[in-house]
Amino acid sequence: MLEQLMINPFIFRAIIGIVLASFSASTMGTFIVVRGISFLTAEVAHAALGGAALGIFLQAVGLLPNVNPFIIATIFAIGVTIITGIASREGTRKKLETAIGAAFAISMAMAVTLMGIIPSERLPEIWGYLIGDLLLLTYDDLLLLATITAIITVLTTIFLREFLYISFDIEGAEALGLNSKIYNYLMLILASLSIVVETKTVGSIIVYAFMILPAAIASQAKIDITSIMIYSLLISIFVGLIGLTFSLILNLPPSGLIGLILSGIYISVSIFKKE
Amino acid sequence: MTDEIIIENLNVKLNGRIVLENINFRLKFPRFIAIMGPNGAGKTTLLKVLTGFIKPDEGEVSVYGLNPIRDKFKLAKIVGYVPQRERIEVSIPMKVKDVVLMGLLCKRRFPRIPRRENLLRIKKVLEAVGIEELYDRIFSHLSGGEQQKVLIARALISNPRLLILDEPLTAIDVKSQWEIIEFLKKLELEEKIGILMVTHDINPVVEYVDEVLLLNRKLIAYGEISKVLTEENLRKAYGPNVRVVTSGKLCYAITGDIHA
Ligand SMILES: Nc1ncnc2c1ncn2[C@@H]1O[C@H](COP(=O)(O)OP(=O)(O)O)[C@@H](O)[C@H]1O
Ligand SMILES: [Mg+2]
Repeated sequence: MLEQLMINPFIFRAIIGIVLASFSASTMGTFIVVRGISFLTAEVAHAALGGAALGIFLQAVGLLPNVNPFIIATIFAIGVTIITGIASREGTRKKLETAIGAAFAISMAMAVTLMGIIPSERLPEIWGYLIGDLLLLTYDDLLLLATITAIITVLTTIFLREFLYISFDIEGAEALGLNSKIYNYLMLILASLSIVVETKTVGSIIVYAFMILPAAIASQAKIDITSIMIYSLLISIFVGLIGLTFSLILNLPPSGLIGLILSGIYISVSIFKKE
Repeated sequence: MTDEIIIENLNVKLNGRIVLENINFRLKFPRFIAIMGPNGAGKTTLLKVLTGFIKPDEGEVSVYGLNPIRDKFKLAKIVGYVPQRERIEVSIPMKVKDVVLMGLLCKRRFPRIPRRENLLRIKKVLEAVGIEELYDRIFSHLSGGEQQKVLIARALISNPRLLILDEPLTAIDVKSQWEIIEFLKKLELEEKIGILMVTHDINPVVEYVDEVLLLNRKLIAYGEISKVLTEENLRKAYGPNVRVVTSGKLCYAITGDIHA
């Protein structure tokens, strides 16, 4: 059985996909959790879905035949993130909520409309962005995911201190001399990149669980930020692989199982902690 | 460079709403000056203008000869800022020493790597504030008063000439309030550090401040405390229904939780 798992290229690529997704989820998921901006996750995931639908459409009708829809998804995600960042910095709560609501509505409306237009043989691809397509990842996909994950991980390591400072106290950091605006946007862009990676692997519906829950579970331990990241990385990989294994045995979508297991752990830990 | 804050014809709008209107004043330091006014009066906004976080829609601002927007980096070297404690994200696990170190490293350029002598300096400044035993503790596990002292230490570690504090006495125990006030007064008298402190409640600091600036969107009055805290001024700032009590020469507003 195990041997078969390793030889099967679909399963091999799915495992690589889970490891990459876990790296980007744990670094940025941790910051998203401690900064309390988890709403961003769902918003950006939907933007990515809308962007992917647009990309597939443009490819299908021959307007952008050589552009991977994933690139369009990434551009959409970053765009929505920057707009949200501007709204949250300069605006009131109401303005922020309007921005998020509008982004949600536009992305979803676009995705649903385009699903009616694009040729039916390409519909599974959109479904892939919705519920994840771990088992359908190609080597090209993996190369793209690996590149983005490497960018996220390296930049987060380099700017860890700055990210920590602006998360802790953005106004204070700025008054103390840090250019908090630049670091804030850099961090939001990295977060959106990581959400796009999750959208491609586990799917936009499960992104929230995969991004937020491991970090939320790890942060219960009241440890420093690097440890939270490492623990949540281990949780993601572990749960990801278990989810994948069960999905093969039970013939169910892996991302659903991953979401269920993570929720189970999170709820157990929360109850256990209260007592 | 003169130790002065000069504001001329300052107007600030946030989201189309006028938050500060036609403010003019000139504050000379080193002194202990309080900015006072009800919740929503624009006190925090004024401090953010002084530290360059908010760009005014109109008006001239000079802090110790520097323009907060243009000379932000230079300004950060001479001003220590203590933000409102409630603005801090306490779910971020940071140790006290790292919070204080932030005061040094934010002022440096990338890469921000702490040096050995910085750790000694952290110990020293924590000692000055009287909380050296908190060095290794997690910030969010501390009491409100202790957290406030850590934030003051963070602002002081780079030897500022002016300390700007936003509501440092709010929601902390009375003992810590006294300790902080006495400490600030000592800084002013012995180290000649200017103190500019926002408070929505003047009562704890009345004996200590040299001057007070009464604000509610507009500048209502500025000067010596006995001249500013009149019944008329307090009613202008806190509304006609505020309870004003007189004690000696001073009037006090009973400000439980009054909103502008
Ligand atoms: N970013 C913002 N956008 C819009 N309005 C704001 C913003 N920040 C503060 N305000 C408003 O400006 C007014 C002054 O706020 P603030 O300076 O925080 O008052 P204070 O510190 O005196 O309590 C309040 O009415 C507040 O609602
Ligand atoms: Mg305030």
